[in-house]
Amino acid sequence: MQVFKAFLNIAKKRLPSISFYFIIFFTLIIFMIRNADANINSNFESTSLDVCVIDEDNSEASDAVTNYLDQIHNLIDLPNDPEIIQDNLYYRYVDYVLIIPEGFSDMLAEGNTSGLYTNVTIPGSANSLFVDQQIDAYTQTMQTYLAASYSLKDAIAATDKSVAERESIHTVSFTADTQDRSNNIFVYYRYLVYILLVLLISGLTPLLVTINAKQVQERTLCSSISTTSRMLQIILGSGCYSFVIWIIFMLAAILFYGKNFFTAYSLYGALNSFVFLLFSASFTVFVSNFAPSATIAHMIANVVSLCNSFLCGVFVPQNMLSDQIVKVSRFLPGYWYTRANDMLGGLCDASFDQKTYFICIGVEFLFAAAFFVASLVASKTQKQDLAN
Amino acid sequence: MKSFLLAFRYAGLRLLRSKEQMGWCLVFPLLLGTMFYMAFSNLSDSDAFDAIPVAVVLDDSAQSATFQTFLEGMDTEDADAFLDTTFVSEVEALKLLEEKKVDGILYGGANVSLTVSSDMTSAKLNQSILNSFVETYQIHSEALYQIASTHPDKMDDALKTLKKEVSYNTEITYSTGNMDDSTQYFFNLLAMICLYASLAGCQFATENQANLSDLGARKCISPVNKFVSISAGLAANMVVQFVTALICLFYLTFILHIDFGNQFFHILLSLIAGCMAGVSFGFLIGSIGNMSKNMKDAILTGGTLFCCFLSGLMMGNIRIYIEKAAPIVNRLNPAALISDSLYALSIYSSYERYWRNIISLLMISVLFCIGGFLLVRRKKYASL
Repeated sequence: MQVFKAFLNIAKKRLPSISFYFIIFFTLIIFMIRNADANINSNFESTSLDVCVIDEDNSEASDAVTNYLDQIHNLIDLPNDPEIIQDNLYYRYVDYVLIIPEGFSDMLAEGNTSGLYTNVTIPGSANSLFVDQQIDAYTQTMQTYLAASYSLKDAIAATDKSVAERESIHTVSFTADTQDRSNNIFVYYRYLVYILLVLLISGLTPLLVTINAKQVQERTLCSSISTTSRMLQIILGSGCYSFVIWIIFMLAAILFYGKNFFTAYSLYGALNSFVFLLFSASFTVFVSNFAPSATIAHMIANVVSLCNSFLCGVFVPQNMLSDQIVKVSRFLPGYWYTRANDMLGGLCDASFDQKTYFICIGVEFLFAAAFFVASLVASKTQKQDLAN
Repeated sequence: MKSFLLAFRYAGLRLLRSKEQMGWCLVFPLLLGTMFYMAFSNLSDSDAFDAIPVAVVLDDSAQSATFQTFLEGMDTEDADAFLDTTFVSEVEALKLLEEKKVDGILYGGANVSLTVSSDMTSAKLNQSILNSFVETYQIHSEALYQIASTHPDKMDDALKTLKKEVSYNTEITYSTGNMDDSTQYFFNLLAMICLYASLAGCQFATENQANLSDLGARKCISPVNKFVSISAGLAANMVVQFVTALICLFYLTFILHIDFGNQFFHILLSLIAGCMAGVSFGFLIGSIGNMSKNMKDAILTGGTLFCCFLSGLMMGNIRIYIEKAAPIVNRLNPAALISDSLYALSIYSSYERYWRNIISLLMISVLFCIGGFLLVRRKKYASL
């Protein structure tokens, strides 16, 4: 096991830089899961948008409109500063800004039908239509009561009563609910695909490049150790490195999600991430055959992991990608990983189906096997080059 | 001046000859840019509103015909259509819903109600809009019912008010710029390209130190003033990296047609300031004498990626969350400063915010350079 020991020694020597990468990417995943939209509920709940109301009228009527919106949406407090409002809209921190101008109450009572409010939103967006519709309904109802000689106070009370009387929506489901929708661990698994790939290529490639360096390889090959044994020991070393990384992330998942980690679907998710780990490791072994420097390895890690993540539905959900991109991304293992994970966690429309899940796992495994074979071929070619 | 130009020339040549690194520095952003372009091609349309496909089931009551006319008024051929209605039987409607061809079923007639499928999480906003539409109908019906029972004499006035075409809301905008938030991923990509100049800066710093490289030892015994040779080297690195960033900007603007606005010279200035920050950051880290090369690489590559993550390279809206929680991070993070300068150019007509970002970047670059100079000054070796 001399090669394996040498591998561990190299790893030990590079521990500070490996630890640094680890800390960076561990911090990234914490930021990612905190920032992710965890709005995953099985039953229909009306979409709550982030709405900011700037009330310049401060009247009974404007309070009523604010309270009505508060019942449906998340009210966000922002100062009345165009630059701050603009930034918050651009980065979608707020979806809709409603400005209730001074004199609103009088205009309402006079029966004005235009210019009662001013709004700032993303022009032509579905979100703006949604909130506009609700504000129009509420205001028109108030004006209807006012037209029927109700006092403002009574009109507000009657409108609120009408709002409370509305019938709730009916939901149907055509499939047995087989998804673990309330479990946010699948958001963690979703981002893990990026982290595993980038961490393995950035951290493991320099170790493999060092042990595969021409002179080191030549020295090992002229010893009594067979090439097969050497290769197996390197694979064992890479396997241990990858496994340790995976175990740490699984322990972190237990720490973050407690008993939610041990549900059947979550364990399916963990298995999914393990098979993806096999692909990441075999891809890393393949890349290391081309002996890139640490910085080049990092760039490859970045390109491959970001492409895999953006095109396969990690950072942009699969249902928001165009059909052509989805077709192309089928040739990437990240697509199959994300498809299985989204299906398990109810992050997409498809319900969980064991057969589809195992097809996804199988395709990921095939990708891993293909890169493993490719690295064996590349290694053999290199050996022949050395012999020549 | 002559020694400056000579050192400038050789530092530039040295960088251009490291083909592998130069190649990756160029290929990497082009690949990522193309991939962003592909991934976001659909995303910019995701905010836009399209008519909602809905199945309508009518009962035998007298109100059905009125409801049908009302709905048909909303299903027009033009782009402003609100609904895309299909009038069918209940069985067919459920089939359409199961096949996800419609976002909901509207039941009309004596009672108006809505049924949606809980299997369609991706149509949640459309389901909500439909729900809001039905609720409006219900609220108005309830109001008329109330008025009829309490103020029957005022029914005509109430009906007149309800029939009025209303447009209570006046939409205003604070910017005429490009509001497509996927553009900010390209701002961050340019920021990343600029900050990757730190790798070249680090390489240059290593090649200037006698205890770290043969080239450094050779430079150490030359009679050229160290300040002059380092300044020339940093300038050469910056120029080469700026040209790399320029090629990427050209590709993104003219091949992929990403809308960065039309203040081209200001964008170039952002890239120059960004490359300065990148090269000087690399120079500072590379000048730390007793740190291993692996560790320096890890700090630069990992640090750059982390800065870009915080500025929104992977999750577009993270920047605004950081602005709420710790605004100081956005004022000091070079990636955030570069991308924010490009954002400010694209969105605002005034240059105040843009210049604030550029000045911050220049100050950070100067601080990094001073730090690097302090680390390498007056180092003499009796033997190596």
